[in-house]
Amino acid sequence: MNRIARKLVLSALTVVLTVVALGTTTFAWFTLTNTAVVQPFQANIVADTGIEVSLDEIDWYTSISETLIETYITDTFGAFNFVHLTTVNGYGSFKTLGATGLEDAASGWLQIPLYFRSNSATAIDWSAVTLTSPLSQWQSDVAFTSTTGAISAGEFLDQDASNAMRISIQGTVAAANNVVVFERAATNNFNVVLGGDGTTPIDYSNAGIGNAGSYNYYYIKTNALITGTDAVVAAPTVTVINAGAVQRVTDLVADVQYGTAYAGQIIIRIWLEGWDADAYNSILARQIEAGFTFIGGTA
Amino acid sequence: MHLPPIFELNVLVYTINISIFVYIKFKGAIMEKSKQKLTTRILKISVNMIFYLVIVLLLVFSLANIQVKKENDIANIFGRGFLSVQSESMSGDSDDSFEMGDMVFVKMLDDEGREDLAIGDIVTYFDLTLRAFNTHRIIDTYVNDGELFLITQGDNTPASDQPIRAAEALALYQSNWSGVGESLDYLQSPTGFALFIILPVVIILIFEGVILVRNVLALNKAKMEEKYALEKEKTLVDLEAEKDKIRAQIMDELKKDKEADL
Repeated sequence: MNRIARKLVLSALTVVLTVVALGTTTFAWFTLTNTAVVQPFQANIVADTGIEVSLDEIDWYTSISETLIETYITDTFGAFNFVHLTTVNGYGSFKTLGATGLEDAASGWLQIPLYFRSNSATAIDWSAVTLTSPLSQWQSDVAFTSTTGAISAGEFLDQDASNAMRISIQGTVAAANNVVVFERAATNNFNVVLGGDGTTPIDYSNAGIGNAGSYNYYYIKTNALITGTDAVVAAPTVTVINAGAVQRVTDLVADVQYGTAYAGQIIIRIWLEGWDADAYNSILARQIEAGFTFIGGTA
Repeated sequence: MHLPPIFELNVLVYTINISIFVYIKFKGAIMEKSKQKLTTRILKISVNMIFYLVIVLLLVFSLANIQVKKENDIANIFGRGFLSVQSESMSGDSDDSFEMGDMVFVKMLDDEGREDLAIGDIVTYFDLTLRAFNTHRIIDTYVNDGELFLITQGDNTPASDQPIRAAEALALYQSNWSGVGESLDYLQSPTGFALFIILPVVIILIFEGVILVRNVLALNKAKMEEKYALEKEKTLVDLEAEKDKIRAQIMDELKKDKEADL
């Protein structure tokens, strides 16, 4: 091989290398500009045979994966963070909790619309739910009374963020607004079930020092209670949803849009109940996982 | 004319001197030329090495960033990653303390690596509340329900962080590079990456493309010249053959004419 031919081969190899470098760097640039955010809530939704579900009324599935829901949350809410909120009805009037009392909240809860279509079912029942958070440890900086008993300063305690989470599903049953709110049962990691009736105020002030849990911790830290602790109104909740205790969430009506016989819509809302005894600030950094199963029913 | 011997000797010495001078001059010119050639060669090799080094660095940086698909992924390659320091929480007197604006090099942790974590190690984990990485020193460890938990604290923070599971520790601190954290941040921004990573590659590609075209043209030219030289040689041979043929014909005719005259 003469000198020029050798130079040409080297030159061609360098160009190939540079093209590979350009491809790689360009791909890396796209990766850089498309970094997915970490969402504090992950869920999957499974529908029974004969029912299809959709997040956008375009793509229909028998089950919606965590990835699809995460993408929906990112597209709709961006880098989402839960904050301490409360609502008396489970679907609206969300309020933040603070030293000055309750204030209208503009964000801090997740809202996921879910569309159903079916050729056989005329109603949708919520037949199973999982709501979990990896059990984490929290080190208290002060002595206080938790739901598990007296805690000394510096002591570690198990924390289950799902105890303070709420999931509500809003639909239409018998032509009326229908809301089902779920919270973990008392059997789960010393959970204290809060659920009220949505109207009657309950006193959690415990003679000024706050009930065990986040109330008392807040009192020890600030020497005060959140305004309204003595008259807490919380949305009614259910703590068991399973095959033996299904919840009707919506009726389906004659489908005129999706090419099936029946269709309907529900709205899933997820929030961190600020009045919950486990609503410590540290749980804001925890990951929540949920799973929903829906079956067809007859209206 | 007969010259005296002393004069002959002088002429001889003079001639030898001139010869030595010419030889030295000639030798010097050769050495100068070869020295120049060597310098050019070293320069060429250096430029080539720098070029390939730049390409490799750009590739490594890009490949490391390709690993980042989620905000809790650390840019890394072959298990080695890098992060920029965003706060003064780790500034202190320890040998391995670092300050805001530094770049830290970390080793990605696997399950085995997490088991070896000990008090004093500096680990990186993703804080969901901050939506950022925290690189803090382990000040205590404990096991709860068979699971290892780590308590971390910045060298310059008054209180410890909330415990994290060992499984949440993503990387182990290795070393730092002072003052280049901000440059890294800029390089990892879409604009910085486009300007300082993609643009140089594009410029190099154009430059190398031009060189490739020039080399192709040079090769074509060399081939044409070779072909022309061969054709010329062949034509000359043909011409010679034709000449010989004509000469032979003329000789034949002359011979025939001579025979006819006789």
